[in-house]
Amino acid sequence: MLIRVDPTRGAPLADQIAAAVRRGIADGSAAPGTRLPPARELAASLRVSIHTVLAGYQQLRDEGLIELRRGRGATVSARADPGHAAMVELARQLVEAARRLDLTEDDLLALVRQTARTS
Amino acid sequence: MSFRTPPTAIAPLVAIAPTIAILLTADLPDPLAVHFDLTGTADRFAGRGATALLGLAVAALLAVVFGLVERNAAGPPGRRGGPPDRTIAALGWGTAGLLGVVLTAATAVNIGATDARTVALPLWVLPCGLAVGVLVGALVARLSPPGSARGTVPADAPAPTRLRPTERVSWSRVSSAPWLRLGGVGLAVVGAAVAVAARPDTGIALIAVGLALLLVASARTTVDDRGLTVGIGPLGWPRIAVPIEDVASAGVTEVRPARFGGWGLRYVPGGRAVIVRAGPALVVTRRDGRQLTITVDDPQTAAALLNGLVERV
Repeated sequence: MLIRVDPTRGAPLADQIAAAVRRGIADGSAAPGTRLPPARELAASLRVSIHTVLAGYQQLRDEGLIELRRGRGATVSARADPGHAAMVELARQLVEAARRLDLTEDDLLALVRQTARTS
Repeated sequence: MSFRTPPTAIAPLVAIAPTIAILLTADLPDPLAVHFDLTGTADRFAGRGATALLGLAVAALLAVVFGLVERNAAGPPGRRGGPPDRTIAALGWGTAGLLGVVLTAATAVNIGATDARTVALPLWVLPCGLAVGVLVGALVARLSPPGSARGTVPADAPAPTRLRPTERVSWSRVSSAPWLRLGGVGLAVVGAAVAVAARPDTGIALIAVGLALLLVASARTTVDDRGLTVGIGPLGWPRIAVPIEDVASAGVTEVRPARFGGWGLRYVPGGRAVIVRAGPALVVTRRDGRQLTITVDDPQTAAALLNGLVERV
């Protein structure tokens, strides 16, 4: 699985790492059961702090996409569905875009609800 | 020099020829001595015809095995009939040399004897056979065309991935051979049982082989700004690294383990290889021309990324 981050982009590096893994799950290059690189190795590889990588992995675990086990590292969850991963990634992008436009959470939800009803 | 090694398959037939000639023409006791113990005293006897038939059968079997191994190792998959592989030719002819000397000597000592039980095999025959085998092998290796050197695999180079100057990338993938892992665990368990129940030395040897299998059963390949890193086994050690400054280009190919002489970390003419299975592989050519071949899934992404990183440096 390919992870690309760019420190000059606005989004925090942890978010960028999580987004790359989500895209990997969505496009099938990280199938359920795939072991993600150990946090220490990925941190060295991307020249970021191990805490940054762990923060990204924790995001993914909270979304139910990966499992973190002590001593066994991070694996793509058996329940991680490519469609679900793609939806989470789209939702994140939607929220980011809303923030750039200074839309409130309620405004965004109203917009999504309206779109769902009319299309 | 335009020397082409004859097919390795005929080596065992050449080795058995003098033995057959002696059996057919010389003055031999019947039955004759065909097997000798470690002191050189004859301990098994057989008739002339049976000995000749058995010898021919073994030689024919070896010929088939050598032929299959060589056929399997020559050229990339799908293309047969490449130049014979140097190492396999040397091993085949060397083995035939050893067999030829020992078998011929074991038959020749019967000549003129009236009673097979008095026949003895001189003790220098085995070391002499080994020496001849090594010599023949070395000669064949020296004379074989270097074009058959292994490790130089044709590789398709994918177009480089476009990378922004400030971007950091990391691609990694674990390739593993599940049946090697299973075999390793199995051997270690059997070894432990044998060590406790019967023979500690045999048991420890089995455990060692099992652990060695586990060590070569998987490898993690990483491509990032620093270049290529391959960590072998669950511990990621031994580790092979090719700094990005040393990378000339990267490509993909299909690998047959026989071409590299088996599985694991292989040192072959023209480079090194990490082989855990047959199939798609990443080939990295260094600036000095040496190649590193790693069997890994999705080598296209890795090769394109490496080419992109090389372009950016």
